Amino acid sequence: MLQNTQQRIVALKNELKSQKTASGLAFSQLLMPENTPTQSYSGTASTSGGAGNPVARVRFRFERTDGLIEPPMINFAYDATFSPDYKQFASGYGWTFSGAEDAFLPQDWVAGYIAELGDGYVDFYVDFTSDIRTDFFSLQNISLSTTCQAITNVKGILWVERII
Amino acid sequence: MSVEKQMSQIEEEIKAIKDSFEQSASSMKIYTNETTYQTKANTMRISNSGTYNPLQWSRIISIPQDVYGNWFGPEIVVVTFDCPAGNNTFASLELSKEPLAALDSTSVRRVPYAGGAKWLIEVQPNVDSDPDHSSYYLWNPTTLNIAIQSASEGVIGVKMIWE
Repeated sequence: MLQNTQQRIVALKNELKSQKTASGLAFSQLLMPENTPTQSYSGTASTSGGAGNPVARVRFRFERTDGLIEPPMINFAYDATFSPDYKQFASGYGWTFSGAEDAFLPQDWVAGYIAELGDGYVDFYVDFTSDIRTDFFSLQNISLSTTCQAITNVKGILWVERII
Repeated sequence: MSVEKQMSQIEEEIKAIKDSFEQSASSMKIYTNETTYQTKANTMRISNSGTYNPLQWSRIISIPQDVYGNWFGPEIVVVTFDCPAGNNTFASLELSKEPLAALDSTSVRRVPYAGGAKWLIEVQPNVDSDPDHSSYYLWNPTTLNIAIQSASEGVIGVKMIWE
């Protein structure tokens, strides 16, 4: 019985120690996330294919490396470009543009969203939408690139993979 | 000190730390910064030297224009939030605008940045039908009411993408 009691005391002291360690760190890390991994993808995509399907889809997966399985809280920030852009494409058909922002880039050609929450990871997709297929009607291929930054207070790795 | 007393003290201390941890996380300070901004016109001159199929170029020919040959494109606004300590931060941007338009499509996207947060807002031009010239329009600015909620203090900056 004495041995059992001593084991319980050791267990309680260990839990007390971990609580003291965790409570001091977690609060300040919420204020200033130091972990902002960034990944980029560049490639080409065919603009043929079924209407409604994205021309390309890039997956950014953040996987935590601290051994916990809860999906981490993350703000994703992303940029995306493709070439030719619409001004370049339209210029080939006799259109001319001039003005303050003449190479306008409507945001609806690209869409970014959290697609999946899993055990210890979060997937963020960047879609180059089927509007590219419609508006760039005579193209066979398009060059594209996207960059994603994950703002989080959790230690982990940001992976990138083209999946469409 | 008896074993029972020691264990009771440890259990009480664990409970107190758990309570204080949960309280500090739930009462974490959130900073709110607000500002108002009026967009500037994305005025373009657009022309075509030949004939074209309007179905293929609907994205261009749907851009509203005035009787003087000005075309009013999407207005892209850059919002930055700079933290004095130079850190990145959790942040969300809340937006309302005047006037509201039922068929409007406004998009907000956070983009990569160092030292805080940055967003691009795309707003469709606010135009009224020209009462004196059928099929043409008159441009008006859009007022954006921007609120940023963040885990760090910071300073808001707003400008058009071409400035």
